[in-house]
Amino acid sequence: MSWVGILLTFSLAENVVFARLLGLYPCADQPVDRRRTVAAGAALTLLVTAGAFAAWALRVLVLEPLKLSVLLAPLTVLAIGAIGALARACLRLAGDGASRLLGPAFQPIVALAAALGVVLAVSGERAGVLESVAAGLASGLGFLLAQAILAAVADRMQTEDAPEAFRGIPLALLSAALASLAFAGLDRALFARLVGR
Amino acid sequence: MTSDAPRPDLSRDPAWLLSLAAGLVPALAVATRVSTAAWLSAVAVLAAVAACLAVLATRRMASWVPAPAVLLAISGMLAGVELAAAAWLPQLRAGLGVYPPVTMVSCLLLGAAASAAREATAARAAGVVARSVIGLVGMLLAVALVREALGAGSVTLPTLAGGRPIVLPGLGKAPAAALLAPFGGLLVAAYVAAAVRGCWRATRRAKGAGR
Repeated sequence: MSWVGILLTFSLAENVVFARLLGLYPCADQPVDRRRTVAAGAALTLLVTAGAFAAWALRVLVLEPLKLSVLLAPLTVLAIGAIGALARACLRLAGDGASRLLGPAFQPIVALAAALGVVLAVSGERAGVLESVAAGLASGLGFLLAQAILAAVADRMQTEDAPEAFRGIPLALLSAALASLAFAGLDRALFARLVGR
Repeated sequence: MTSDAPRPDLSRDPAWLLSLAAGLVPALAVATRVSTAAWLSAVAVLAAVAACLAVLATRRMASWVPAPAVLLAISGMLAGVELAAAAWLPQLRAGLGVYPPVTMVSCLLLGAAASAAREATAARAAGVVARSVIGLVGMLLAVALVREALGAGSVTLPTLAGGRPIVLPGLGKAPAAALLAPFGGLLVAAYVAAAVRGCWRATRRAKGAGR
């Protein structure tokens, strides 16, 4: 797949939030903080990119030579957990400002699950190291885009008068469903025809 | 890790089950049949029990211990599930793709619920997790049932051979196949969550009027 194809496929056609339903935390009743939304997107981008590299190294250097590919998922969980813990330790060292900005924005478990899903999907493509890292980066950018869209929708929804039963989480899910429907039009085959494989 | 997790407030929002299930939303991407939802539910229950036991076993230790302990417990459990699925259910494993591991990791949220009861007794923590698990499994099965019934006109019961479909008369002729797409899962989940909330509020109002 070409570099442009990887970027378009993993950021739009296989969008981590809208196509794979990963990293979605339906809490529209909470106030929207754009800085933290961007911070969460940046943090997940870093986590997925580093995780994609770690998963490639595990798969190619350790598991495939030992014929233990079935253990990729559990080892990737540990690798991503370790990367996340390392990132949090670095944030603490970087100072209170960075920790305050990125720490609370980064829902660790939801992000860990999202990163795991993306990393395993990228590994499933059996790409080389650079393609894996590029796909991880593109997935992180796709997450950032999705979070920005959902934050903007949630922002608008706070001033709208929704039926009582739909306020909060159901409305957030409905918004995500409609955004996901829009992204369903961005097909992988479409990008393959536009930019080539 | 677990200390940063969301702690839903049942009294504020009865759709907290779904909030707790934020990590379980990924399962909606593949839970297009009741049988698939049942298998994913089994994985979720295993993960929740493992996370709960790991948190309970380590909660008297230093504060940095529970997070890696839960991660190790989940990884160990995941290795067992992957090996068992590769040996006995290879087709199901291939069909579900990355989602069983993701669902297991997502269910760390339930371990987080147990850690919310860190100061409470083990029985209370187990109660919190049990309620959460019942809610999550109920929600996942309900969403899958509605999606499959309306989207495919059938209900597939879980079996070791992959599932036994029962065609629903009338619904199978013109199914709303779009509900089987990922956005269909979110759409149905939204309506199920709203229905749960509506019923919960109506019950509370009826109880209040009865007093």
